[in-house]
Amino acid sequence: MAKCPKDDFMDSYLLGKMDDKARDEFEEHYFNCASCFAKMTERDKIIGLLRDEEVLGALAEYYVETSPRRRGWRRLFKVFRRR
Amino acid sequence: MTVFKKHTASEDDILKYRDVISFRVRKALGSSNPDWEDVVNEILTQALEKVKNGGFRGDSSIGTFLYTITSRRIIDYIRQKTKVLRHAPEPSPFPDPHDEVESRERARQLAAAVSRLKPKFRDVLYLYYYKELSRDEVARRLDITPRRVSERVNYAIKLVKKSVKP
Repeated sequence: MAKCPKDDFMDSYLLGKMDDKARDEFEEHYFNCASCFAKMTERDKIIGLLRDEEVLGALAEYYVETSPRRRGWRRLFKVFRRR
Repeated sequence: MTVFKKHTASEDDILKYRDVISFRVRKALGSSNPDWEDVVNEILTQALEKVKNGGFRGDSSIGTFLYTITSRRIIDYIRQKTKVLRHAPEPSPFPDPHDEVESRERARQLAAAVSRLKPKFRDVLYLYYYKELSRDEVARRLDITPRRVSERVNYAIKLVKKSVKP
């Protein structure tokens, strides 16, 4: 991997969603790229904390209760925007 | 004629990679695995010995040389452990109480920061990081484009990062 990857790519690695080939390439890349390694470790810390039950886990109830209604409003606004 | 420059490595050059090797080992073995530090030290010792004995010829970068040693050692460790675990599972280690308190404090700060976010940012963080949906799945759920999902995730991360002490 010659180019430094984008944040989405790092997220896929940190969340374990990457296939073996891409993972190996990225690992070799960050062994050779200090700036990607620094960026990734910082992101890893934040993601680790976000996935805590007390942080994003606490939103489960809120999300189930409010999201369908908000999505309905969003669809309605879209109809008006098209007109 | 192209002349390729050979890489050289000193002891200090190798030791600078401790953090990178540690990250890779912890990711593969799990942060709560008490063996990770021993594995890292073994990798560094092996690399230093190789350099001393001329095993590092400089055809690749030091990073790639260490990456190869690290990956092989991780595979060996997992193989050994799989054999051991077939006979007797090890008890899980106790977390360090000091680390535990610090981590809880950071989680509280982050929870407060997340609660201050606009709902559209909270939604993407929740679906993407907690529910582990793909970027495309989040886009479909929220009726936005995948690119917009990335923008919102990155912006939300930027906002909440400020609230957590380094």
